[in-house]
Amino acid sequence: MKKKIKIAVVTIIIFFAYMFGRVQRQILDDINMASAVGYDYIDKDKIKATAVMPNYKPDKNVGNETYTASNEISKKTLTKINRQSSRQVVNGKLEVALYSKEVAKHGIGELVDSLQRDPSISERLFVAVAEGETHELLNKRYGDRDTGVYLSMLIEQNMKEGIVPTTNLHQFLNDYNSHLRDPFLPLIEQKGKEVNLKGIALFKDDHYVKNLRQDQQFIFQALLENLQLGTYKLKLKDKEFVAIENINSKSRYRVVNLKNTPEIHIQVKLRGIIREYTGKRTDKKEIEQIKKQMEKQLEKEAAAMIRSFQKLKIDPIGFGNHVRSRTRNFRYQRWVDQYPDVKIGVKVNAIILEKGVVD
Amino acid sequence: MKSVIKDQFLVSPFLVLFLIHGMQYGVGVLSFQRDIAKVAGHDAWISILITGILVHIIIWMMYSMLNKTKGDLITIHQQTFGKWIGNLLSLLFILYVLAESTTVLRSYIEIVQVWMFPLLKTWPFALVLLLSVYYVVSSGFRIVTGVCFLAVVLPSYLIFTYVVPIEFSTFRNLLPVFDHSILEMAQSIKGSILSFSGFEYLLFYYPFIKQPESSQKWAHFGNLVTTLLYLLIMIVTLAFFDQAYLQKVIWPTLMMWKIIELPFVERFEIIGVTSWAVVMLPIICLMFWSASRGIKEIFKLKQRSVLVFLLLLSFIVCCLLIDRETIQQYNTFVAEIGFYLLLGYIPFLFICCHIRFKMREKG
Repeated sequence: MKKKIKIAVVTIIIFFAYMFGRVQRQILDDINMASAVGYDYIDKDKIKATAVMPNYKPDKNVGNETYTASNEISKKTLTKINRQSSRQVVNGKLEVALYSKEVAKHGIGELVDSLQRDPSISERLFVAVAEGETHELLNKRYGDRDTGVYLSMLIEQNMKEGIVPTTNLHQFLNDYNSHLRDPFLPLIEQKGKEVNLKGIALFKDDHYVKNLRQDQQFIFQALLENLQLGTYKLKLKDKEFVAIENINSKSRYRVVNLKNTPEIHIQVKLRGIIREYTGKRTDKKEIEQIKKQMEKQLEKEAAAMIRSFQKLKIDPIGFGNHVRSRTRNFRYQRWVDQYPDVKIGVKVNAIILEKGVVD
Repeated sequence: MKSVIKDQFLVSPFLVLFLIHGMQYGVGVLSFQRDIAKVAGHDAWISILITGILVHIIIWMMYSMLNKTKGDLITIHQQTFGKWIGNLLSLLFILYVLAESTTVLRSYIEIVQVWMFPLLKTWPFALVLLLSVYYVVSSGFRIVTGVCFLAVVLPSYLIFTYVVPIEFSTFRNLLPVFDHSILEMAQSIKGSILSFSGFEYLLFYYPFIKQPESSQKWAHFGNLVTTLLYLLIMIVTLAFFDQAYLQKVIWPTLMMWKIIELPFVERFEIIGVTSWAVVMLPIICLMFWSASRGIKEIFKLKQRSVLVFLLLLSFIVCCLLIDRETIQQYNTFVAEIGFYLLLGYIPFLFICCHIRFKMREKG
């Protein structure tokens, strides 16, 4: 008798759990997985969101479907997009999030929140700023893939090559939430049929302030991380150019005078190979010349770049963290006040390892 | 008073390693970093080390009491404070065990709801989990130990996943070492002792160990494993997150899993959350086992009927905790009690117990 009751209870529990414990199923063929999303500025409290969804056709071709909607909150726009789509739109496969420069200028804090709050969004998502309207950029089809995958491959490839510093959603959120650093994002632009990585967009808190000049990009990366495969083009006197490739860099930070106003001395070590040279011969003297000039040029660029950062009171490289990690009882407010006047010196030490197969 | 447990229900001393470590390593692992870092900042890993040592001392205290009385918490209480007060204290302890088991259950369901299925209702899931808890606990202590063993061994592959985020870490975040005052470090222990809690159930299952005196080294070893594992997770977390960002993240460990990308699975944290069901189940099992065993000892009731009653109670409380805020409130409340219980009451009991024994020897 007791055993019968037991069996009955267990059956009832399993039955109830099966009946009421079910959640909505999402079958891959019945959902639309957005692969890229872009935000454009309309007016002060309205934005336009564009979502790109790959459309897998029976002939193994991948097409694009773009949906656009405008609303106050980015999540809300997604439901609006959902209304247009024949299938449910989910954002678990989102690869790229783009913000137009206009949106970035007005601050992307509220938009970023939807990315950091949603557990289904990957931390490896690429966030980027787009020159012009993202709507136009995303509406086009590039290459033989859907736009989202194409953009993510474009950015990823360039990060691996060392053309832009590695950034993903996690690193962006880390910098964005940090008191000591300001975020930066890759800047992309549409040029005819291609999309082009233009440079780096710098932010103050969540506002876009300026983009880094292309010639400063190399030293920016060298200060930020240890490069593996950098390339640098150097203009020598009288129209001679030299391209140095496979540069790997190492930077060492030294902070002195921590008690009062800290001074930061950075030593950057570069090792590279000459790939192209428009001069006549690459003999010992010439190489020495190239090396000297490269060091001088980079130091000049670094000084100009850091000065512009200090003027804008932004710290994308994270000097603040370097000072903090060397200071006991670090006082945040004091550092913020000091930052524009802190002396930051960069010393470059270049070594040219090889010069190719000819002299 | 003492009831001798038959030889066939006993477990080997080395299994205490799994019982101690398995109980400590629970739902807290997914979220413990934030509470510690709130006070101790980038020195949070030191707080883990200090707490690990403290827990070693408490384990030693418990063994010293248990070896003397040759019983469990209930006999210690009865011998120290007399029958009535002793039983009342045991009952309060059991109440805490029950509250904690509900915390574990509800926290896990919340994680599933937030990270996997937002539409999942609490009660069907709780019902199924508690049904399996009944199944395990009613089969006896040996089965509970077996599940504990599995819970340590099966998800042990997850240790590799804590290494992956290093790619995106800056270990400079950990410097300068010892940048916080002693007071701040002491405060942070309050946060970290809870992630270590779980060893106190030794007070209940001690009589079920074969040659219990020899199991002490395994208990210490279990705690050592926990300390080292927490240390690894903490250091990676501190390097992976900026301090200001870490304060925003509710489940830092799950957040770290989000960065893992495998060719065959887009979101690793789904696997992580699912694996956590295996980690969490024996914890609830042993908690219910301890609670029902305690009540059985005090009131001389049948353990199974007590168990059914306790499971129902926990189920009701679990369903009453609806949103994040109430869960948070309930968790902090239970955590507060747990802190005083582990660092205050057990040492107090240790002193009382020894005074009592000294008195008895003299008299």
